[in-house]
Amino acid sequence: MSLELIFSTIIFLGTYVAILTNKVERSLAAISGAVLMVVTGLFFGFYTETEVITEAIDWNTIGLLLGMMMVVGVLKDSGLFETLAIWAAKLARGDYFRMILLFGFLAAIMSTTIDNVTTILLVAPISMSISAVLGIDPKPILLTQALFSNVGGVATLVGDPPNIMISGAGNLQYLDFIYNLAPTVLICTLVSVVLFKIAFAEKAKEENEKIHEEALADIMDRKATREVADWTLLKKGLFGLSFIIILFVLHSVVAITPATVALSGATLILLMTRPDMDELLDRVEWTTLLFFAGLFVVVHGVVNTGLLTKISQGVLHVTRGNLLFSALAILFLSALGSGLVDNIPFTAAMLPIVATLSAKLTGSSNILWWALAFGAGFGGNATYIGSSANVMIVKISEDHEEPISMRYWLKYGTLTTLITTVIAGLVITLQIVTPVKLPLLPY
Amino acid sequence: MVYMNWIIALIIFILTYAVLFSEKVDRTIVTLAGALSVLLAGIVFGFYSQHEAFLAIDFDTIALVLGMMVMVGTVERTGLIEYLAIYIAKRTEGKIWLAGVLSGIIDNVPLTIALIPVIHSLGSIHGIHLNSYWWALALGAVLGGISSPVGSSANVISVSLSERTDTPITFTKWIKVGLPLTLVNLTLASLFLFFGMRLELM
Repeated sequence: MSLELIFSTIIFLGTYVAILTNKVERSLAAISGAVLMVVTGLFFGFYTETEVITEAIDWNTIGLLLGMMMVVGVLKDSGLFETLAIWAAKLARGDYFRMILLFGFLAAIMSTTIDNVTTILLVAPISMSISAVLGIDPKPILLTQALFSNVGGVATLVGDPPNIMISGAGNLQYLDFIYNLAPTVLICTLVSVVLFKIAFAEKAKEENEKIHEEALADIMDRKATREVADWTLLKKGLFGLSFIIILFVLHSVVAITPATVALSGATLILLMTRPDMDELLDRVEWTTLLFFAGLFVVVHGVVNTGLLTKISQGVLHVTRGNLLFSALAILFLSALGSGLVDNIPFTAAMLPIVATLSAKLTGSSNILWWALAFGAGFGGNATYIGSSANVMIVKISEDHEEPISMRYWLKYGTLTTLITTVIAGLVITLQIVTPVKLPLLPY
Repeated sequence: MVYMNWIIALIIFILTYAVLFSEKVDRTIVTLAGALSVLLAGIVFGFYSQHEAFLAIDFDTIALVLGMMVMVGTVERTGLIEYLAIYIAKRTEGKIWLAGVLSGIIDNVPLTIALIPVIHSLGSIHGIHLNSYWWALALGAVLGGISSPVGSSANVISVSLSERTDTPITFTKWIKVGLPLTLVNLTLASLFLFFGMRLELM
């Protein structure tokens, strides 16, 4: 083991321990880790300063977040989120578990076509206002949104960044993803619903008692549109937002990257509404952006020294030659890995390994790519730094004085990851050992 | 085709600056709009990509300014800024020389950022009209920047360009020209400030 590998691993683990134990503020921990990693890298020669900007930091994620945060910042004043909250409360008829499901499914469906973080930034404010109005605990509702949006995102090519990377490396098309992944994702979502029904049964009962009859009756009587504070602002904001969403959906046709789309849409809204920029920029979560930038720099360090490649090669060495074992190893390894690291850099490290194995073992089948897609997608639920959507949810919960702790997250997130990954494992095993082959539907 | 790309980029460039100087729309919004228009046009016509756009940003400057702002923000809480403010509060000319000397030693962008809160707290001490203080800071930072090769980013670039030729500008060579120039300029600027203030030109 070389010195650079040891040092980079220590810095990597140290940063993660600092983040996970919450002893140091998240963004500060990530930035400190990043600085240490780059300085060490400069010393040992595994990192260059230009690399930080050109390769390590995923500007697409940062730009997308910045754009969407500005859009949400403008829309906040229009009363849109309050309006939708009232509408959602009416739809759920004031039942706590129904509200959890409503927001969960909304997040899952939105995530199949637009980015998970965008989904969270749009849906979470609605659930925050509904919780405030009814005086209920928002944590389970927020948590479910993040978990479901991660699961839902796996279903399509554009739903999750790892899928976009896999489609490039494995030369797979939009419909390939839908036919091979969507049925399993649907099963996983339904099983998760049952799981949450049991896990939150007591909580739902308790919260339902907290909702006052009068408050509920008042909401059922209220006209949702009365909450709109500024119709012109709302119309302009929604115009810009539809511009963004249409371009997201057309992603595979129009080759404009998400960050450009989000920032263009945000600029369009800014030009139309002319808000006070100082005030608007205060609403952007700069600490979250710094956190991501720092984390990307840290992870790129261990990618450079070959830690991720070493681990995955080591595991796959044991299973080499057997398709079933290799597929399951890829699935569980990537689930574990993307639970600990953001799934984008982890997928990047796995791509060349899966490509080699796929060529050797499977011939025309793409089963190993699907194993990677399932693992990278479902694994993100395990911890709150497993995916960008999770970080956003935790940040939003902290801003509203209802912080979701790591322990709270692990309790439900890890269980969700475990069950969804096992289901994916069963589906993969079924396809390898029996003649049953997905796609079940001809296309 | 290449000419068309030039024309598109040039039009967006001129338009952005025109709107910027008209001061009708917030600066941040104008520059964002200009940036995104040229990027979108570049993607459509194939002369620009998102990745290139992010690399076009000068992260050295941004990181420097960000770091300085964090540092100044921290120092502000310790009271050092107020101390400095009272120390040099009596004379505007004191200000110009302080800024001038300091900006010869460090780059003038971070220096200016560091001195801005000093002027702000001067205002709260005296309750006076601050215009001449702002002029003092601007003149001092710019003129002081002449004195050494590291005084401003432009100097650094000039020096590194000269190093590629047979007659590189060394540190001492620069000082020999730069320092007298700065001294003369600062004296002139002090006189200008002194009389300007009394004649209420500013």
